[in-house]
Amino acid sequence: MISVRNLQFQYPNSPFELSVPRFELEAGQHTAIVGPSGCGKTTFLNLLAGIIPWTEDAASEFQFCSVPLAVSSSREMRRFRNESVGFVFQDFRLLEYLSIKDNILLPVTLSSNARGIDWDARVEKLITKVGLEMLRDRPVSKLSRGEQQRVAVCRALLREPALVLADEPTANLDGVNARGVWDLLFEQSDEIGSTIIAVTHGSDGLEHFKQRVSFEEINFGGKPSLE
Amino acid sequence: MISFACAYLCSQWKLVMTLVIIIGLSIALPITSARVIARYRAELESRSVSPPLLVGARGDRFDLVLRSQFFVGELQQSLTYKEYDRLSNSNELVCAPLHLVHSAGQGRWPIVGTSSVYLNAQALSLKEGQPFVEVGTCVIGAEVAKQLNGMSAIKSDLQSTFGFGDASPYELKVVGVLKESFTPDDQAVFVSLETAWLLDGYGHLHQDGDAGTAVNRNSFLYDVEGSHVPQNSQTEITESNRQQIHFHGEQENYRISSVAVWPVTNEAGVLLRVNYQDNRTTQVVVPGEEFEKLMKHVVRVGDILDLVFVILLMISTMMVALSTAQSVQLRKKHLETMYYLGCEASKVRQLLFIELSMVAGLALVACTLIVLLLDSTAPSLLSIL
Repeated sequence: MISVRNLQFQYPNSPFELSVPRFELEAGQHTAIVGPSGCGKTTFLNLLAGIIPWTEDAASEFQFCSVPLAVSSSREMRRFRNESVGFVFQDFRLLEYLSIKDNILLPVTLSSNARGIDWDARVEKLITKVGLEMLRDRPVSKLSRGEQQRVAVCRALLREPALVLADEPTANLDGVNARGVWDLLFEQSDEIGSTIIAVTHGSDGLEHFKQRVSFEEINFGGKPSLE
Repeated sequence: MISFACAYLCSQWKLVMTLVIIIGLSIALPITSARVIARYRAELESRSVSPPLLVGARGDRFDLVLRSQFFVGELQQSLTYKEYDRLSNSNELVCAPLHLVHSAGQGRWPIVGTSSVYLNAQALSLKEGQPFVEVGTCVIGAEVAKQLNGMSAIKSDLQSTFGFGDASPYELKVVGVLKESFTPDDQAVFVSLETAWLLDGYGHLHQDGDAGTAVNRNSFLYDVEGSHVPQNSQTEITESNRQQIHFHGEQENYRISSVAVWPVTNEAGVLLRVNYQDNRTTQVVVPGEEFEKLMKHVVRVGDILDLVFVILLMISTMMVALSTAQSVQLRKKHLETMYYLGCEASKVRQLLFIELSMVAGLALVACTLIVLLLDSTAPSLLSIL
């Protein structure tokens, strides 16, 4: 489902170098990439999501469901990210002035390829599952951190994406909230059959993953550096 | 998307309000200033047309025009009735005397002593009642009638601060109300010259056996032959006591403030001006010319205001630019999140455009409200001018 070949990436004026000769995942797999802070895990996820554009390199290859994406335009990558990827960020990235419902709806509201689906019903279903249905119109700034991350997970799953990327989603949460977020992520992803790639720097949530990969196994670029 | 834009603007309401007020004021102030000046000019111009000429005692020309046309206060110099008599003998001139000394309603309403010629020449018609034929009666302007609220009499104001003087206030019976003309005539109380002279103290009423006391040496009545001040003056004029009103001195020497003149022909007007050109005590003034001089000053003030507004506009533009830059900085993370979520660039631009349009719309509403508010207070602004 995901196939990465010969990925080379370097930030300008930085010694950091990411070099992934081969990375492949089958559909529906749940993979945890583990590595110390600053080793390039987030950069790798951002490259997979197309947030960081791929360096033009004839040898690089990135295929998603057999569709080559490495040479896609910025517009195509946005569309890919919007429609096929659900991203759960470490710092949630919610718009604090919007309500729970509007935050979850944000990716489809600002997209022209979202017609024909009853998004309100999907939001209702998701927030009921996470127990926030009574707070649907409350601004997210008034929620606890655990509640905020649940909203972020709902937003990532709204489109029922084929790929869910999670960047240390429980790093800022306590044990109970962290467990809740992992449970939610797996339960929902399993229901829709999404592939999950999560990066983490500790053992937090690793028990949920059948496949665990050390980032050093992927990145042959060498020297870890601050991201 | 509109609800998203609203939510953001609500979350930043202090910034939005500041921007709205700054933009609204920057646009509203020049508009209001231009409108007030235009209205001031229109009001002055419409009033300066009629009467086309004014005859008054030599002195400040603009003072004569302002007081005779707008009934503002008392003229320092006065004419005698003799002057009016001489002018009115000409078949080429339509003349109306103006006696502008007294007021009623604690200074709110000027009492204009004149003749029916003035009302006819100014096209002032009666809405109800009859003209001020008898002594002690008055015809009131539409605005005065509104404020009187059905009262049938008006009391003239005391002449001196402490209520002592040669003339007493009289109760003037309202016999007629004029139609609204949207001119200073609406604010005036019109009486006959006889009534005005009664208020001056040339004439009075007193009981039998009341020989009265001597006139104050400083009073203008001092030189009037046989004049005196009644000890118990009657201030209410009734049908029964009206016949007892008597005047002292020669009528031709009684004072009037000015004479409004409507020449029948242009030549007659020119001739009148030529005749008075070298007169050392009396002058002929063309109100239109005096207003034109005043408008030059007003336009100059308008130009200065425009300059001030340009500077204000520049300052507010800089403030708006600064606030917008600050807002963009604040929104940087929001926009980044939208990018991370794959939101379409055109949709994000659309959202920002809606937000800006809403601020602009609110500023426009604020501007309209400010203009309307200032417009409604424009009459009082005009009176200040």
